[in-house]
Amino acid sequence: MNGDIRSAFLMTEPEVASSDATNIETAIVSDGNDYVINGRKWWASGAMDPNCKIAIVMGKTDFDAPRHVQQSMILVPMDTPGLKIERGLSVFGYTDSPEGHAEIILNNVRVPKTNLLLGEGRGFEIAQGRLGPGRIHHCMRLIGMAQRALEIMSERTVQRKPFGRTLDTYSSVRQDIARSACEIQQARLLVLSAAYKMDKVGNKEAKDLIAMIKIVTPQMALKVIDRAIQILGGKGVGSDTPLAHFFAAARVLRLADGPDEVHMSQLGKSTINKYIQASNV
Amino acid sequence: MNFDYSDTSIALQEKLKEFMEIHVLPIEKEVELFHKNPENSWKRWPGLESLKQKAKDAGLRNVFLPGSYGALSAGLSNLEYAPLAEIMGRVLWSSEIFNCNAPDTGNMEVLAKYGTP
Repeated sequence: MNGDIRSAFLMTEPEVASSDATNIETAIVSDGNDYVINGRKWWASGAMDPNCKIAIVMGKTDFDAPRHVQQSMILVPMDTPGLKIERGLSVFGYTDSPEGHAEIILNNVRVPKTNLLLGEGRGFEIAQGRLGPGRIHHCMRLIGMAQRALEIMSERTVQRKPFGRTLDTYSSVRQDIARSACEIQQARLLVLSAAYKMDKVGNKEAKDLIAMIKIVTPQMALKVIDRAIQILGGKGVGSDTPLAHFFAAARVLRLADGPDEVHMSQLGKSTINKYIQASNV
Repeated sequence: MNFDYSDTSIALQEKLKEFMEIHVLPIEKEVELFHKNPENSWKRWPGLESLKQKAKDAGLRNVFLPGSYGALSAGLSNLEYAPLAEIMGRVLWSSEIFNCNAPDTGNMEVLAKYGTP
């Protein structure tokens, strides 16, 4: 909480469809007073930062247990022998240095048993609690990116004069700006309603709203940023404005912390269940 | 449902906007160019620590952690934090100044919830 060090979260694996966390193959095996960890992770954001000192690793302590109690989370100091950063990954060419996104090999990494969080088999439970706030924070920041894109494109419309009149007088440009303003405010209010519900009844009860914002917000931001890039023309795709990097960052968030499809699947299922139950009354 | 921002949140929004205007936006380009230079790969921008201290002095640190965490928290609700995160989102690398960056926020929350000192 002092902000002196940074940390990483090692969940996603290159070898399995990690959007379904029950597929994760990293093994956390009990050995005397220690656990020994073996596996390969990637998209470990923050792990490249020289200040990154600790990772929370998700793996399986019991491959034969019911699907949602096989996983555990454990603390692993980054300097533990056997933990090797294989490479820093890039996102559409952006390395996001210094925090970066790492591919990491865990080869007989040994840590004391006291490093296990909460207890064996409770990794899924922690993940669910952890990812709700993380998702809404991403969405809040995406609203900020989209809002700034709207401001940048608005400013541009009065500065440029193609075919004899400024961009702000073109109806298609006004429509792009109007749609962007509507969509940003729609997403903002949805995010606030999710935040409100998390405050009132807790993250678990707010899960449908969290799924909604995670589906809606990255796609909204992409649309708005794309319009801004189009209005700015060449300047929009270059590095003189933050738009190109915003676009890359927003696109990642249709995948990071659960791809759209997973959230839609869960939200769809939950919505169907709600109305089946309602009609039985 | 009432989404009006509380007085606490509004006061912090004003303070944060001012901080961004004075300390962050003027150097946004400079920081980006530093990180684009291959010689600086995986190196931290040297000015970050002093910005973090400034944010701490201004009472703008750790505003992400909900009030239910007690002493560790800045005491805000998610609803109060939302507009603050929105302001930080306007500059991609700025959240770390306020100790509100991913993935550390999620990790800190896990440790605050389940960890022992």
